[in-house]
Amino acid sequence: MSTILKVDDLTKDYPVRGSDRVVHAVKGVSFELKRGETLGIVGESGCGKSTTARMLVRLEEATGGRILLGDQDITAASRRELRDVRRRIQMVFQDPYASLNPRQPVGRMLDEVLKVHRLAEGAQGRQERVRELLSMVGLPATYASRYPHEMSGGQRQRIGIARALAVEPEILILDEPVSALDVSVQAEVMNLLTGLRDRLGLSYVFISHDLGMVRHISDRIAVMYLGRIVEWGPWQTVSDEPLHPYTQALQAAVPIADPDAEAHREVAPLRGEIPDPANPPLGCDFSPRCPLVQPVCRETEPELLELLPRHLAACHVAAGRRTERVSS
Amino acid sequence: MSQVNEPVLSVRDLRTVIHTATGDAEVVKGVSFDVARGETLALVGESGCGKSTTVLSVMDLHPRPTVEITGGQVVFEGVDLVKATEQQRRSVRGAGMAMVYQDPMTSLNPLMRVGDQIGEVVLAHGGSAEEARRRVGEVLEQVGIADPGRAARAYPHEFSGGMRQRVVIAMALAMRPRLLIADEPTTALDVTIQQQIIALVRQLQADNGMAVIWITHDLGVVARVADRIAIMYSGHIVEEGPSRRVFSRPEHPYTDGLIASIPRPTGSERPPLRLIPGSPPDPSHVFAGCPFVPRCPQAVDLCSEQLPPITERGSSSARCWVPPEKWTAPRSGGVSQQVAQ
Ligand SMILES: Nc1ncnc2c1ncn2[C@@H]1O[C@H](COP(=O)(O)OP(=O)(O)OP(=O)(O)O)[C@@H](O)[C@H]1O
Ligand SMILES: Nc1ncnc2c1ncn2[C@@H]1O[C@H](COP(=O)(O)OP(=O)(O)OP(=O)(O)O)[C@@H](O)[C@H]1O
Ligand SMILES: [Mg+2]
Ligand SMILES: [Mg+2]
Repeated sequence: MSTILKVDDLTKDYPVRGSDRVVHAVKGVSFELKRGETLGIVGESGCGKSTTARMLVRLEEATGGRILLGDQDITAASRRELRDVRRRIQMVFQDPYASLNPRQPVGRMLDEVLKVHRLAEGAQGRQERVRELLSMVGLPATYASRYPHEMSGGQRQRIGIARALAVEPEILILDEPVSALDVSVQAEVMNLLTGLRDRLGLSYVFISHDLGMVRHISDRIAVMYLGRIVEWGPWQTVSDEPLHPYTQALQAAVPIADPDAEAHREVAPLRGEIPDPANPPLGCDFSPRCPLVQPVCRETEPELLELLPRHLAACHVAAGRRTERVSS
Repeated sequence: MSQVNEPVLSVRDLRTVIHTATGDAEVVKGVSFDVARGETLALVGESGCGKSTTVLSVMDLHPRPTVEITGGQVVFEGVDLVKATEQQRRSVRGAGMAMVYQDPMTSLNPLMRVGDQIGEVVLAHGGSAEEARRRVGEVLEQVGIADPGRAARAYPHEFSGGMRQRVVIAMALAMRPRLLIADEPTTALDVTIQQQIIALVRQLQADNGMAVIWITHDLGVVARVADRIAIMYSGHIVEEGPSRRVFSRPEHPYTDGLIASIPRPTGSERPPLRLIPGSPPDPSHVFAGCPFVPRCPQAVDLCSEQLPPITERGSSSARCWVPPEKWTAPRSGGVSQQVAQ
């Protein structure tokens, strides 16, 4: 599979108002996305998931690093080049209501997207295409005349997806696309996303704080903590046999909807809370909470290393175990 | 899990109407349940099904001028609060039972020191200043706050979301309530912090036998905290029973559908998720029959004509015309089977 998107050492600093400090929201994130692949990004609030997503579509300027779409650097694209970029990468947001114009029927909204990007021939052609887009996301053509408030949350999220698909993109950045939806409706949108991906050969960056959803849809999973990717690898090993103690704690904290399984999972909660991103600890960001912490962890920041084939983690302890195994 | 005996709270056929500009809507439509000492009842359901209105009706019988209880009983430790005097109710509220909300700032005054706010609860129930001071230290320590003295002098904004929720729980504990009602207490928190709060509430229950009503829409949280589960849909409790039984052998098609719609937590197979077609109805919608009919795979003609009665079987009950052995559409088979597959 060829690489379609390559992110290299991406950083984002936000100034803290009324002081000379900065919030290091994203700190040297690197990953690549292969054609047709879904990369899941999981992590707790404030770890930099949305900031990363917004930089990928240039809704946010990067402080440093590069985002390569083919051989074009998105972070350096001119306004004209950006139009082409936006035709290839689209974003779907968490709150379908906030991302739609309440005073516009959804059909007209889609029509305008097509007009702006000159994507269909004439009014007739656009109407045809609007119908096609609605059907792609499983809505009848009659929904074109509905306003957002006349739809359920799940239907609105379908419209958000249809709008992103209107420009025939290769990549969708999905930032918490099901987090605002009811449980029974989440399943519907998840199935729609997997179906579209397989049918249209799309590549996804799927962002969520919900490890269960990320596990369900991803080919590879990246785990973020305080602005950094701390673990990255194949979906099943990252979610079920994680190497990083933070991922291990995250996995243990996610309750399983099975009382019998839960009864056998008496795990001590992770202590403490996420540190202030404007004032991160010395060494490893996770060291103040880590149950396996060693002296080196409080001094030196661990590097993201390939500890198992295609499975990377940034942890001194996990890396040490790996070395022991290799030498014995 | 815990010892079950006399119910602390017994709710019978509770009905609550909301008066709105566009008319009245009955959003709690004859709800009954019990909570025993030391037990956790999870009240589960999707957005707008009436969970918060149910517990608000229990906690504070006239929450807002727009919300009115039109029928039923709320029996707390043997006293029907619907018929009780305002003074009786006031002594139960905060002392007999206490409430924790999703957003901690709902319960906290941003301009007041945390210790004063907790102390105020004790004073309001006739405690002395000395008692109040001592109790503040005790409850802050109980909820795992490292330096209770310093925390008592701090203002709410000086705490993180997770710590604020601990403070709110401390405040709820001030009068040693026998029932804690927690309305989505961890929904706004990160999972690692959620895990801390769940562990805290469990510890408190083990220590003092407090009963808990835990509202959530997260089936994972339910599996972790609940002894018993009540599933709400469109103002009704459609199924109620012991947690293990509800997960392994759901008796209402809605429960069955909910369980089937979540991704498998383990294994290398990731089949498409099963889904419940459509979305939950607006609670102001009045149905002739069962409100789940438009989405129900098991429905028969009778279902759209008449609301099914509550059928009791052992310690469980369900509001459905079609018992599981007569279901014709495929079912999830319960969560254990799903996990094992
Ligand atoms: N416009 C901004 N100005 C200042 N700080 C910001 C801004 N946007 C984000 N941040 C900070 O950057 C960090 C990362 O935020 P981001 O929204 O990317 O996190 P997230 O992982 O998406 O979290 P969530 O799960 O809550 O959506 C946080 O500390 C946040 O407070
Ligand atoms: N004060 C009010 N005025 C008008 N409608 C209300 C009021 N309070 C609740 N409702 C409506 O009553 C219904 C039940 O609401 P309730 O808050 O009890 O649901 P819930 O199950 O707690 O939902 P959620 O999971 O979203 O918190 C909803 O449709 C809600 O919009
Ligand atoms: Mg975000
Ligand atoms: Mg509610």
